[in-house]
Amino acid sequence: MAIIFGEGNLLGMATALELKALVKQFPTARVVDGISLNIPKGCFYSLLGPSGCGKTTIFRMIAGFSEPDEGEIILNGRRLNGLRPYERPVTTVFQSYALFPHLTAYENVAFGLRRRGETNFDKKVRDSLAMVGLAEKAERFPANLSGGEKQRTALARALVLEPELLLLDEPLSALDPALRKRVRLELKQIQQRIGITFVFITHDQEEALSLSDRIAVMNKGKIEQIGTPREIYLQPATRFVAGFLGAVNWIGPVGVRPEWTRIGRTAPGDVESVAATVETAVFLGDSVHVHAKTADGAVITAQVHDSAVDYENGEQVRLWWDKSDELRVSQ
Amino acid sequence: MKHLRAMFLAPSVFFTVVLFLIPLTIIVSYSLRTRGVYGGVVDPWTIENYARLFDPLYGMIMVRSVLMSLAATALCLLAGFPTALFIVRNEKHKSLLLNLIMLPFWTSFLVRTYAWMFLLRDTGLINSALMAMGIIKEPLPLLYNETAVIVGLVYGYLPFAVLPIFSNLERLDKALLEAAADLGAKPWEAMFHVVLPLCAPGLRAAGVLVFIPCLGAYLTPDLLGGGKSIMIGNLIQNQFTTARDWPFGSAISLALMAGVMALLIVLIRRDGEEAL
Amino acid sequence: MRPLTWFAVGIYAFLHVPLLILCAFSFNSSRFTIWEGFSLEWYRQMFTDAQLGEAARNSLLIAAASTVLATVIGTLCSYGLWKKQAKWLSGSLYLSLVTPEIISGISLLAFFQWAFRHWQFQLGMHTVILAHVAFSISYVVLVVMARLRTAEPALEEAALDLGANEWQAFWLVTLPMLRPGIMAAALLAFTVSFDDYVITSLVAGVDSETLPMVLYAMARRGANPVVSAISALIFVGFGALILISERLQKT
Repeated sequence: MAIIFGEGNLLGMATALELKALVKQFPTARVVDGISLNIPKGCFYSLLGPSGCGKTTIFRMIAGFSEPDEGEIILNGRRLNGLRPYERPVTTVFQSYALFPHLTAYENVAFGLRRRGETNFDKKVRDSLAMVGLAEKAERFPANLSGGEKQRTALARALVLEPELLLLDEPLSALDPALRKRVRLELKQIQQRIGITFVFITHDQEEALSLSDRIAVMNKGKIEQIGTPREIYLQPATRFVAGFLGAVNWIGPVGVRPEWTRIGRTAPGDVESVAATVETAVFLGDSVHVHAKTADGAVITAQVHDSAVDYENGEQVRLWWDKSDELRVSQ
Repeated sequence: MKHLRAMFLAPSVFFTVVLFLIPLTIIVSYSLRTRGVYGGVVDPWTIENYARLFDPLYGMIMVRSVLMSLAATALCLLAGFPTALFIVRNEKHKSLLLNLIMLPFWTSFLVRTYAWMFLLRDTGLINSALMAMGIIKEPLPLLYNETAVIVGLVYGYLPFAVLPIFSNLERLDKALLEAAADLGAKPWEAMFHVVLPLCAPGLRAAGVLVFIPCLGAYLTPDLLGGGKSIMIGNLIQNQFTTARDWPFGSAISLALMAGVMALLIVLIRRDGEEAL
Repeated sequence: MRPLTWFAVGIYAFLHVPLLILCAFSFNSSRFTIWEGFSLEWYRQMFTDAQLGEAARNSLLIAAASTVLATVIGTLCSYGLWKKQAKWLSGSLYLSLVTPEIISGISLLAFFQWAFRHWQFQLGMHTVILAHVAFSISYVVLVVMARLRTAEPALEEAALDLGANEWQAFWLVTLPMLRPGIMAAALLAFTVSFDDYVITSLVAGVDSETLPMVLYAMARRGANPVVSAISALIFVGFGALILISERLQKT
């Protein structure tokens, strides 16, 4: 697993952002505890972790709203420590979008260009709004935009400045679930088209898995694992990563995800299987989750993709799985 | 950024220190000095001014002020709670009804007090009307008594009672009443056992917000109470003007101030800073 | 109607009928409280009274000056306190808000008298304006602070992020966002200043008699329909001011 730890250059890409041994101490806790990362250029990079894991503090230190106590932040070879937020070539899409309520969508997007003293920015603003599909709504105030439109305005506002790095702080969390999936797709497409490095802060593993080129999973101020979505899902380095990215049945030190756990009244003759008693079977439409208790008291969940299958409570069943599907974690 | 913030705070710090804290300090120092022959403030330092607060002559005025303020506060709460309840229940016209409560508050306090003089004085509207109808021959002594002062105080500070009760009621979960009804409570039982207890913070805040200005009232007792129904505020004014006893006036002021602060501290200890 | 409705109707009547009657009787042709017919006599007297005119001018000048000063100072102060708390300052401002007017008045009087001994100046318009600014700041801070508390902290960060410096973030983002609150605060400062009698009467000089002072003297002297006329005018004037400000805040 060590081969993918913090080694952004392995794929032959240049490093955009480098965090070197960052530390941030709050009165009660060390919220960022020696974080080192290499984020390749043009990468969609996610910082994934539960609330309080330190990802927001890292985002604030990259953006310049807070300074690290120790360590360095280097963007394309330039040290960012000590620079004010407005001196950094980094822009942000905020969780709440933070659109200026007294300015139209157009003026929100033009805000940063005006600060740079640009005068011929009309085309840039219009292009940027068109890119996110809001050309028609340029003159609207934020109060008259829908949630998804606000989110896209915030994106246009941050991208129009052509930052070297775009930070996205849980940008989808304020949207309703149906919209979230659609915007997620759009976000990925935009990133691929413009090629700017995105650093995406999220606690939602599904978002991180579906969007990212790379994910750094964080817990308690430290990095648990860095890798591609497949790597961290299929080969989690730690028990925490395995559990945070999806449900796991733990049978001693071995973990098996419910979707790889097979169930039947009898097991095929040549595989090792575990005897269990069905506790409940939950019908989920496209699948059935069967919870069954083994002799030593562990409850194991098996996801059955045949919705027609039904189990009675108290029924005796056998559970088994492929050896190659077992998750082997370090702790 | 630090410089910007210091610049922003500087003018208000100046005004607060020079025109509020220093004057209060002067009053503290005056309260511990002696009255001069011509009304000035002279040495020696003394605590005699505070001892005089317990003189029955002045003690009476203070006790009466407290009692009148309590009466006015009780009336404000009794009138304010149902009114706030009425406004909360009128979902459609809520903001209009609330504005109507606040409207007199935006009118001059002096004008509002004068309106009651206009109604209550011997040749005022009520007496004129009653005499014109032949119900009474002599005008009733409606003005210049304690009742008139209490009416004036309630009139002046009722909005202070309605607002905190209203915002407390509005925060209550509507489902609570439905839950109470669902569990078999009759409407008045739900009112007593659910709404009223949950509204206690609002009622306490309302009580303090009305009681404090009543206790320090000057204009209302001055215009509606006449010479016989004076309150602490008038006593202080008197010491600084007619009686020219600034040290004693200062001591009364500080006693009043102490009372006000004690009340606020008790409320904040209990309900937190957001209570006000 | 239900009992609660009846009760509320009674309370609204209690609050509004006295003022409405007062306004109505300002149009009475008799100087007594018996209706004898419509007349504008008291309004004519009011507008031709030189003392009243002077007092009204003083009041407007004082209220305008102290409103501008208190609104600017109070808004800056709220912003500073929002960025970082200063318990002693916000505590002092709150204390000045709950201090009985008579105490604020006599302490300012004592302060000015004490200051006169060291510097040569007298009570007058300037002392009234200073006193009004002092007590209005708390009102402004109260209103603007309430607005800031509901403001989104990320707005200023967004401005910094997009290249604005701290000053531009305040001037271009926070201040426009606060505009409705600031206007409401200014309106409140104006009314408390224009209305104040207790503090003003203690710190006013010979040249700075205000409308409430004249009104007070007239009210004490006895029944006077001119007072009713002034009251009606103030009532209508403030009503209009509030309506206008609500309109402005909506746009």
